[in-house]
Amino acid sequence: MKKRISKAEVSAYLDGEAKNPAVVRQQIEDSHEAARHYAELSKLSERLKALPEPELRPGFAGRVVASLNDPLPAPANRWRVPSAMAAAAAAILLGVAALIGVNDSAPSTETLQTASVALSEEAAILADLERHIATSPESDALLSGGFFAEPEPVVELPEDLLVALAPSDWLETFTASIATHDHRIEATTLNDAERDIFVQLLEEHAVEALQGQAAHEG
Amino acid sequence: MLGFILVNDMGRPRLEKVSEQSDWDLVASARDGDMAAFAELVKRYERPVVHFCQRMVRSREDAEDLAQESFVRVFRYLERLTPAAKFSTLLFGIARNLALNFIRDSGRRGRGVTYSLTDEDQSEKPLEDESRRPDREARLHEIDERIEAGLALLSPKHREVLVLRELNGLDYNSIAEIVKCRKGTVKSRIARAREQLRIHMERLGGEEL
Repeated sequence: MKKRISKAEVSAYLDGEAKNPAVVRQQIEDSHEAARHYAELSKLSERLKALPEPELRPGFAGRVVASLNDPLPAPANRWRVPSAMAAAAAAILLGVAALIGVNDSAPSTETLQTASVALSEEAAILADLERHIATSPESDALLSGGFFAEPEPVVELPEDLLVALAPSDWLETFTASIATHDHRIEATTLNDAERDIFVQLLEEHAVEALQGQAAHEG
Repeated sequence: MLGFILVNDMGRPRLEKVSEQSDWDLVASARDGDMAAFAELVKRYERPVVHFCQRMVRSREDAEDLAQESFVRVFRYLERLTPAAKFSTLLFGIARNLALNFIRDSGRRGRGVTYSLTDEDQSEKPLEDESRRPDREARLHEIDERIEAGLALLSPKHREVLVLRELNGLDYNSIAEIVKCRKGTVKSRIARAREQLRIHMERLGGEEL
């Protein structure tokens, strides 16, 4: 039986980035559906590339050079996590930490929904976060914009801090999906592959949050 | 602007046209105080960076401000730049972060671009008189407007990869470095962005492109 190619593969083929371009090409030739999809993507790509470029106001380079003498903004000494976000993340943290740590047994719905956070716990999480940021060798690069000294700065944070940095609405959506037994989350357990994806997503959000906060304050 | 910089060619000084220098050669010259070299870098990338920012934040004025800030940040950290990555990757990465922050902050302030998808808005448009076919140029302009509207409806994560790919012409590896994710993630996000854009355009009153 011929393996069907995904729409993502057709999209990548359009960009010259398909893993198996010969396979995709054959599928497009053999399948009316694949051919139609490829044609739609091609037309869309053609129109996107044909969009008019914005007109630059004259003298852009001159304005940039002139602004180089402007005084630098005062550097931020402390990296602040919005307390509302940290509190929400901390509330979910207790349930999610239990979820990550369990391989076989299903966590109870109560754990995910009802964890309450004392003010002392929120303060402890914030203190941990700030201490880790201050002592991390990559934090300086991140606070400067994240592209200097090393090509890809990586801040390794423990999972509880990753969760504390994740956008609260994202975490709420994720844990709500688990609580409602969304079939995409495979009931209430995470297998190794799902945990890896979850941690990767947390890491991406954490780096983005750090860089975003630094750019905002910088 | 055409300028010259002094380069050390195996111990012999030589004048070289600024426009022929590689990006990192220009960075090295700028680091030594050569403003002509830095201005050349700006000229090389002003259009693609502004173009990217405008597709992200929609306002030309804001896009130019963000692009300007991107170059200023590069200049301020010249001493710490290393050629481990492509210069364009660094620059786009900074512009991307600034644009995402801007979008996030705009959302918090209650600003933002809204595009109407409701039927009543579409009904305000005059119905096409099929007895008078619009000329090709007008038709293409209409399609462009729908594409612009559809792009604005994409989430920033999907919009940025699609813009970097289709409008800035970057490959998946470069995009992955800029947005700090794996190449496979770039591939799936671009595919998803194209699908969502196609759907948005259908809803915005689109027949075929």
